Amino acid sequence: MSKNLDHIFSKFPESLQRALFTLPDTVKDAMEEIRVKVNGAVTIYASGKEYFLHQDNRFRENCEKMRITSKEEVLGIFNSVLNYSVYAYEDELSNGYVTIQGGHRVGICGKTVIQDGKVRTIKNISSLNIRRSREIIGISEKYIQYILRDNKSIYNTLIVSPPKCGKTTLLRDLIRNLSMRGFKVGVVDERSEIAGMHEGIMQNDLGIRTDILDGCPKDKGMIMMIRSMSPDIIATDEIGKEEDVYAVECALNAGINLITTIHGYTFEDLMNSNIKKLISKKIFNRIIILSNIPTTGCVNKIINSNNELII
Amino acid sequence: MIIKMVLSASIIALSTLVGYLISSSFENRIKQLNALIFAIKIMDAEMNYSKNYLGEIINKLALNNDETIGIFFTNINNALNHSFGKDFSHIWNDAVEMTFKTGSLSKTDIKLLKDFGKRFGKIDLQNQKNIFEYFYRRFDLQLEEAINEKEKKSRVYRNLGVSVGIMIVVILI
Repeated sequence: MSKNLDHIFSKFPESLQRALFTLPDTVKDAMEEIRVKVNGAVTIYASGKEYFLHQDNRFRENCEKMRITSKEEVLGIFNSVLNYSVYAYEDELSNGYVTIQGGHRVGICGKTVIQDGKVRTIKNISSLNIRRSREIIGISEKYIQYILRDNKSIYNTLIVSPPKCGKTTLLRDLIRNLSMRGFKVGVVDERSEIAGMHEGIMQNDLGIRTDILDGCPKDKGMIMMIRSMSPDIIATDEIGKEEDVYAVECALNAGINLITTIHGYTFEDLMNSNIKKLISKKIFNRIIILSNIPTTGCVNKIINSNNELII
Repeated sequence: MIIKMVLSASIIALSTLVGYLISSSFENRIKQLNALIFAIKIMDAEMNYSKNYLGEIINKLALNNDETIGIFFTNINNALNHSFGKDFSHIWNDAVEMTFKTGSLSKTDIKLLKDFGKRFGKIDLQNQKNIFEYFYRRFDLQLEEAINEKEKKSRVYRNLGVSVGIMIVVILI
């Protein structure tokens, strides 16, 4: 079994681990999400199919005799996910998710505690969604030629895709690829999903010339990177806040190239987003649009800043 | 005559030793309570300032303590590494039982220690701070009681050991 999945399975109680380990390799390899609900099912999503845990502790596609998960079991997984350290995850809990070793994201639902109009934490946990982080070495090889301007610089690149279409996976491999080609890459990994840092060690291969600022807000992190690590390229995931625009402009003024991602479907979505200013200024010379048709992570098209098709 | 003298000396030595052993348990209780309070202060600092995970904190405490407290945190560390989803309060409870059941801590000390582990790591930082403050006060009171008890009883048991030994020898002679 891949070490990648090991980090996820180790968060489950023994009985559930046994069920997960007995899954066919094809399902394990394609696994995208595991969802767990209080008084509900344990469900796996893989290759567009749902698998429900049954009373005999085996996963099947039908939900007729599904096993009901107790509140204690879900709470046990929640505590295990947080390494029994709720106090260390207050900021993450207020966002509704935490990132575990390996860069996997765990979404959390329950009763929110509001203080001064902001979500402070979540209690009475009702469901969890563990989203697997994937590392596919070589996935960017086919597209790197469209990003490289020459041997010393790249086009500023924006990866656009709806959720679960593989934008972080592609970004991760692009970082590794560019790092191996001699570029110094500074990664601002706000949600610890790109590098999957654990105790200062990156869990995913991002190349030999990559520096990672882990858990740092993107807008602050980009500026810190510029000042401290003199990168050729700054890479970050999921921009979209107004503060990010200023940080991107700072990076560009410092002569640093940028690779980043954003949620969306089309070029028009970008024009309606918070980064409209950057798009209008034609900052991103390469825009890679992903989709999950026919499969997750398909590059639908690559366009330039004028919305002209490159491939 | 020589045999009688050797026997008498042995009886007195043995009963004195028993007296010393009983009196040393009062000393041990103070030592263990002091070590526990110190460990809890380290936990407090690690949580509040470094925001280290509980597993890392326990691991540090296991490595940096010896004797009973070191064994206690090693037991928790081992259980944590093999628990997979087990509630931390159960792990803490089991380790308290395993380590202190036959030691010098009183029943109240043990109950307090078990209570301390109940909400550990399950609450936010502010509430965790409040819990620490509460248990500092409780453990300080236990320590005060242990010091008083030692002053009152330790010398009594030591003297009693010697006296009982002499009494037995006198009766036998």
